[in-house]
Amino acid sequence: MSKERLPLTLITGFLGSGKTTLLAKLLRDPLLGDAVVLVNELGEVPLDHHLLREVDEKTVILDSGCVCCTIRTDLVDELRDLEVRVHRGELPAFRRVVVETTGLADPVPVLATLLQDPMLSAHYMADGVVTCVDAVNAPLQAERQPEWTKQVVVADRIVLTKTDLAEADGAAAEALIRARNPVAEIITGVSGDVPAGRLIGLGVLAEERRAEQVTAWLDAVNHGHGHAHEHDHDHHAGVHAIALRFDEPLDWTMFALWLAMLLQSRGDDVLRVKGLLDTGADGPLVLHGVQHVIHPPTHLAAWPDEDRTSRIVLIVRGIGRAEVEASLRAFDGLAKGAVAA
Amino acid sequence: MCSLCGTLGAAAHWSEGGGDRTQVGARREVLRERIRRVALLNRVLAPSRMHVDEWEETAYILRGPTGQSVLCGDLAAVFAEVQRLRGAPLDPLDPALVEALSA
Repeated sequence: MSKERLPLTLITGFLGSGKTTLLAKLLRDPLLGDAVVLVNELGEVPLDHHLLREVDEKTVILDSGCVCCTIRTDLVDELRDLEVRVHRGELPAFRRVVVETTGLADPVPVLATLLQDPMLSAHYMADGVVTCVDAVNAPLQAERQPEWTKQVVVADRIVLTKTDLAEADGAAAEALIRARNPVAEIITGVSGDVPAGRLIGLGVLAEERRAEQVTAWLDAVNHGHGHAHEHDHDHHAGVHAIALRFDEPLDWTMFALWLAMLLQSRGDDVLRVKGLLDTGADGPLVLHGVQHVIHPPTHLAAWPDEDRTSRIVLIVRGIGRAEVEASLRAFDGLAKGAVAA
Repeated sequence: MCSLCGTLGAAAHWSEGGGDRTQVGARREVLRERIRRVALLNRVLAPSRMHVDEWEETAYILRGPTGQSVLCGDLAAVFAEVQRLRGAPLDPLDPALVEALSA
């Protein structure tokens, strides 16, 4: 692709979690001076930016009814319109996009839209998902709101808000977050005061950062970062991390078949997938997925460290480690033993 | 790509992007991988009495236990159709399936 894709930052978080307050502060930073900002509604918090657009969360649900396949047509239409107006000279060129979702939004369709829409996939790349979590209401929302869990699971950075309030329990909120997302950096952001550089320009899908992202996940899960171990998960949500390691190279064709099958049958309970796979090539294959949205896997030229075993992390709900490992070993064994390469 | 919405003519499914494309003869490698994918699919689908054939290097033909056939663009579409024909998804974590494949 000749043209460099523009980074798109997604800011999400449950109702009242402080998304707009955070955005209002971020917009004062020069880092966002050449950004287009798409918000779902102009609320009580004033937003001051020359390229601020209000969009309705218009969605098209495809025939399968899969929420992840929901295409955010509002984003497609708005970004296409902006590109046209820039080409006409009616607007200055922009170098970055920030999208703020509604508090009840599922962020996955935005990521799916970026991959599935031909124009958007050619021009934009997800830079990172920033999720605001209200430290006061996190326990209640974690228990009762599936949207909260989804927003936390897909986050690359979490801004913990309202920690200055007397009734806030930051440690409890962090534990709830860690049970669902072992690796996202948690940043305390009272009144939205977070340096823009810690949230913008993350480049989570950039080729050069993919291995680093995966190894960070593997380290976090293997070292029991927070409450990510299976035995230590939050039983209300049943969400936990599974870390798998395979000493022998994996048969990629069978692995992909297995994963496609798993996503079809248990897709709602497979929240994230990351992995470095030894498929017999010189470098590993990097796997990155959010629910049904699997990014095209890429081969690295070399391994990022001395460890050359296949390592996979899945964030799942109600699925046990033993059943995943037994299944994957059976499928891989079938590929190696029964079907000639 | 979304695993549930693979449709004929859509962008390449993620499952077709992980093979080793570094060697000479990448197209031949793609075809070889498709043929092997079909062979593996047939091992996995055999307990369900279903069968898949490769079609023109662009799709797969899934045949159900009672003879129905359907054209599927990619792996996601194959498993969506398997679910439709069976009336339930084929779960790779199902102990009975795992045991059947291990035998």
